[in-house]
Amino acid sequence: MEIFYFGQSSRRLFGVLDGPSQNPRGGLVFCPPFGDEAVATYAALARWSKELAARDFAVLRFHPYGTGESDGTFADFNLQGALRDVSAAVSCLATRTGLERVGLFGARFGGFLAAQAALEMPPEFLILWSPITNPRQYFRDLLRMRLTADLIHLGADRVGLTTQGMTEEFKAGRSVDVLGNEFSPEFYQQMTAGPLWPVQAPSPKVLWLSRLAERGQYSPLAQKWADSGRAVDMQFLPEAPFWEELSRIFPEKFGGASDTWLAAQGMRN
Amino acid sequence: MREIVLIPCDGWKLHGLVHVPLQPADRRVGVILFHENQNTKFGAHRLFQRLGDALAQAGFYALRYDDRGNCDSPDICELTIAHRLADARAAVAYFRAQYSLDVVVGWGLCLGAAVAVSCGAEPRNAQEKLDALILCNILADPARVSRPEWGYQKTNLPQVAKDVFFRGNFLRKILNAHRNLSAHRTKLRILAARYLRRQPRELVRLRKAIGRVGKFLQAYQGPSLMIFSEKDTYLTEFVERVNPGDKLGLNQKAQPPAWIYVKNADHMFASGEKTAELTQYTLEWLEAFREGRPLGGVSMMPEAPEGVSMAELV
Repeated sequence: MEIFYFGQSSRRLFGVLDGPSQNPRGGLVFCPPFGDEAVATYAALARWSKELAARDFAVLRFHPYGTGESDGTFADFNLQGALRDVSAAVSCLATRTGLERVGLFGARFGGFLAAQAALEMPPEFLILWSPITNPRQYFRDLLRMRLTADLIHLGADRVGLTTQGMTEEFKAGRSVDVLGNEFSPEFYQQMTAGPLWPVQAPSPKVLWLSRLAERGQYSPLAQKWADSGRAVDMQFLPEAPFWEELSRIFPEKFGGASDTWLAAQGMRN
Repeated sequence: MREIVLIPCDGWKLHGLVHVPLQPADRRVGVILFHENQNTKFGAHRLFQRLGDALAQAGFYALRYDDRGNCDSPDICELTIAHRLADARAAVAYFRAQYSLDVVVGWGLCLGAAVAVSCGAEPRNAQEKLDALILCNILADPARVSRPEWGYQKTNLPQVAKDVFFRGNFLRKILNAHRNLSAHRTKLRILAARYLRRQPRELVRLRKAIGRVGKFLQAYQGPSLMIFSEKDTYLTEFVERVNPGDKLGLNQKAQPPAWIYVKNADHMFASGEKTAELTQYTLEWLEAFREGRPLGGVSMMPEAPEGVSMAELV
């Protein structure tokens, strides 16, 4: 394992490289979920990364600018910046391992990032765990979480903000605090009027895992990807929503299905 | 400035980050930030990272680390409370020695606070000593670790029965029961298995360790600051279960703890405003400690807040 900062000196990113840097079986960049979900899944995804590393995969986990251990404040985080960071992480892994192409993995918002990044530079393969496919809706849900927390902690009569009110703040060029994270107007703009979920699969090989409860929502999207002639393996599994709170739960079903899929691609013993 | 460090401990390596002050004070004070349960060293909404930066800016050294085999520390380990305590001791000794610190302060949140006081009360040698403690929303009630988020729980049968029979339209449930018999059978089998399953040994050990936190608070002789959030049931648990009527005699100690009660804050201080408030209280107290001035905070344990009843806890 190597731990280091990479990227431009004005935009230092924190990275952890699990696995061999010489002659790995394959390479994989982990795109992390967002905000509290990144924290809740951190230990589980780190564990999966180490398990892959034990099978000779080189895995780079990184923190987008303004998050985790990377430089910047949360107000510096936005979608376009995070996509540049994915690109920097892919270059970093390729340089360190000598691999020409690497795979991308993303869970939740990281899945959206991975799919978007794949449009620009198609990865060797793409693995998605319950990806966010509608950033606009997701952003709204995040704002509602702030309202819910206010309702619980302050009581209905003392909650001064509404989702609309927060939207107005963004439009006026001001940041909004959402559960301790400062969301910038740029982030709002990019999430609500930015890129949409790709219509076609952005990688020749895709594994898309979602929970059983998400079947109705994701089946049509995955079908479109499959119709584009790409090898899209979509599976709905009885997995717990492991990103919802800090816990000891490891998403065994997603992890197991991904291991099996990677083995079937001939990338593992 | 942040430095990446690897802390040796029982053959493991703990990955840590040290916030190094650009202008260290004459008295070299280091603060170790012990995170809560399953969290990593930067914390929810980067609480620990922000606090580390603020501490370094005020001339303190600050260390954050991941426990053995977890998050950014190499290898994989099924973490136990014994591991956490051993890691904490190793981190204190390493920090003191590597950064030539005069004193080391333990700052912990939730389980991190329990770890800090457990180490602080029983140091095995001078290197592992914690010279002062700041304990936020301390986990001191063993009942808490049986909750689902800790992942060790058995099914709470009375609670399930209450949910099944007394929530919703009871009459309709009876009338429709025959249609759902097969589903009920399956559910009952699952429930029975979960109810009868053995308690994991680690839960027993963890409950025991958390059950001793009160005694450690009693035994710890250094200065301490206890911080509680208003919108968090941990204060209620502490006041009503762990230390009712100050049965631990904390206020009778030679150095009684100072208390700070953060209004409208939740367990994780999850807002920019509350994080800033927490940081400010921490810095004020630490600066007074470093300079030998009287320590801030009020001297009386706060009351349990209104509206947070014990019923919520069971």
